[in-house]
Amino acid sequence: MQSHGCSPVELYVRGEIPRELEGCFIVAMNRRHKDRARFSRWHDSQADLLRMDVVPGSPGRVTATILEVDPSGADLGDRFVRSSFERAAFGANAAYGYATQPNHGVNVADQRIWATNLLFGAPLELDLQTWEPRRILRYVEPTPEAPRVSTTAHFAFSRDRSRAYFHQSLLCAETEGSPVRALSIKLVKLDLVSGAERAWELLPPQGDAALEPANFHSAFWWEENGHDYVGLLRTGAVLESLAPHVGAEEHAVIRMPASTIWFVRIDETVERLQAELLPGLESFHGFAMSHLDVSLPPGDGFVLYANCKQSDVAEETHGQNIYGQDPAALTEHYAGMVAEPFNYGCVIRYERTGGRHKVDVFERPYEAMRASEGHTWLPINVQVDASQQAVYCSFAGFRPRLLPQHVYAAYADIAVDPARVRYVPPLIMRLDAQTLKPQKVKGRGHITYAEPLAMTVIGDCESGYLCTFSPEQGLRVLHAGDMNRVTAYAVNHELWHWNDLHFRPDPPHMIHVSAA
Amino acid sequence: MALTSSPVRGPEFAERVLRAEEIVRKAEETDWDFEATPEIFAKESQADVIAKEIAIVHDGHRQTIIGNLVIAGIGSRFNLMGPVQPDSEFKIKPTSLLSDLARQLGEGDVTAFLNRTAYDKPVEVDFHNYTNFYTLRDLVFWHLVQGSGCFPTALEHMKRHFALGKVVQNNVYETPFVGRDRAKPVVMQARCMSVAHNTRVVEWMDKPLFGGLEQDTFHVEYLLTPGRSRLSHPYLTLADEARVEYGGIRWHVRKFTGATPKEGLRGPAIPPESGSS
Repeated sequence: MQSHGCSPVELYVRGEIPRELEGCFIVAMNRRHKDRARFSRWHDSQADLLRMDVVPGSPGRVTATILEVDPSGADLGDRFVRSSFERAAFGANAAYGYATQPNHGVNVADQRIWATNLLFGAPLELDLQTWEPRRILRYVEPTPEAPRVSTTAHFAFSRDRSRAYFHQSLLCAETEGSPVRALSIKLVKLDLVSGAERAWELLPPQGDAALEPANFHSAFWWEENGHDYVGLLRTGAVLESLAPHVGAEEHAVIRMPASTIWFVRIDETVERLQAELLPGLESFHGFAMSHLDVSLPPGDGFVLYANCKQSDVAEETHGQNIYGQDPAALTEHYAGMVAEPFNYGCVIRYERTGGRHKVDVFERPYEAMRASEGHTWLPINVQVDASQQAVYCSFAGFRPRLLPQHVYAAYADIAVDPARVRYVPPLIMRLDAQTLKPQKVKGRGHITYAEPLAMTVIGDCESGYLCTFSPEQGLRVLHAGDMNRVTAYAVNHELWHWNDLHFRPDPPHMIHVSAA
Repeated sequence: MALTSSPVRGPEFAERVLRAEEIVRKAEETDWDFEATPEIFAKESQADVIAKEIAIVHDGHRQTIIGNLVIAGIGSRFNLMGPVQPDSEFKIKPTSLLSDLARQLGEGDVTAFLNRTAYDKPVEVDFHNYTNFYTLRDLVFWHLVQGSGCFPTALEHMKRHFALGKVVQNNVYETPFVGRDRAKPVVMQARCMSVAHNTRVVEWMDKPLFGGLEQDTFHVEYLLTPGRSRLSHPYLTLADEARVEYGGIRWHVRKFTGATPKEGLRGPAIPPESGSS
């Protein structure tokens, strides 16, 4: 298969597209089969990368172009060297999977896009203007014993965005009695000015040396005493097997450990970097710490905003649900569709200055009686506005009938009571960046339910815009200061399906690249 | 939504209006949190569209949806709301389009679905008292006057539609038969609804919110376009394609069938949101 660019699609725009949006939005989408009986893991589903070019005005113009990615990397020719193992394994060895399947995260710097999977494979680099793949960023070599690759989905960038950092490792196939484990963990630096690259071996910290949960969904950078530091959210997904299920039966779930954060001081003179644990999180029991944004003060230190999903992100929807209902009886039961949370999650604020730290946590169940207070069920996006005064967070909510019984069983002591929980609607909420409380201002909406989850904030919380996207609801532009006001939206349901057999579900993330 | 309060007239109705106005004002002041105004809560919503047969006719500039709905409910008087574009034209207009399409592309899908379920044969109902709600305030006020109330999660969904510049179109319908309980709801059929608005792209309908009775909706949907269309329904199966004549024009038609889940589903035997939970 070749990476394949589809004909541009014009979205129908209502309202006025502000001039601040001039540029484009990038979204990593995936496609799923309409037949709910087919098990297909989200990670492995075909990546369709979307670029929406935006012309401001009333109504303005939005044009979408999709790139269907070749997961083998073969279309890159000599820009991606495939070993004989890989050539034989693609399409034949389910434990290997693919070289790249970037259907989740999007990173951008200097007209280059790096699209990533949420756990597996290596990042695909694309040229923003030509919308063509350039290369696959791979620094480890898959083997029959360690056939898969894992990479950070959301990279760390230095303050001036001249350097990008991410982790990459091999994944060893499970053995009898032992789950999948990481091997050859590396930290990679891309120098975006000189084009130089280097990789260090990353040594696990004392107190968190287990290699089974050593996966890192997001990374961040900060500076201290003239040194570069990189933090890695150790998400902690524990995979029972590298290959997706052959059948969608219930199975024993290995409970993942609570998440934590590794960090390293960058040292160009050594080959190995010893990771340490960020202090202050020893008694923290959040699971699946995944997404972050970071606020960098002019001097040393950082303020980190990160979320924990309270969801076993190594598992996906299949099998009987918490009510004992069979998947065949539930129309909404898309096998392998999503990871559902077992309880409400949280957003943390970690401030580090002068060697000291302070941790605040915001967590809330959903109370229908007090909907304006929001909730923290399945947090997805975290983004600080340009003024650093507000943090915008999206939460996927909860669909109780999609939580599998076998996943619930592994977390029953800390999970929600199935007899008392209802549907929790998705929402986007604006929090105060200092207090981490809902930023309520009389007459100006701080919360919006039923909005698409993929979001990005352009500008500040007073005069900027909150943009969201899903193939179903389209591109939506809300006032960041009053989320009850929509300034424009653009839709075309051609983006919602692929031919007659597949549809494209809600993607989790989007980014904006300004034309300026 | 079932409209449960008994109709009143004269000063008693004026009192009810004043009371509804007072509650709405208080709810608005508290950002529509139901804690301060638990009297807004609906007791049970008790009505769901269980099957729909619709044709989406798109000429490149304007989309017209013509539909027959099969609805189950507990009670005998109900309302049905749906977000529409503000320039929409809503009407009930007799048309043979759906039956003509069924004749050409296969009849009896909805009947076969009903035969597979325990539902009774539907009784015909007419929509009346068409209303448009332009604000959340309008919507809540109307439901309070009718004595049915709302659910917080449904209200949040509606809030989004108002923010997009849509209006919520509302119809009342009733039947001489009474649906007594969940095991024996009254099953109704409303025919020949038509709603049209200007748009250059085909826009599939929103998934309905769960009304407490039927978790899925069975669909037969026809897409009519002047030329051959590649557009597919995101969840329904392509069942057939053909060329048909309608309104003196030859159309390409794609037929989709299947079931979709409603939005906001909860576990079995879990009651709806209420003031005590």
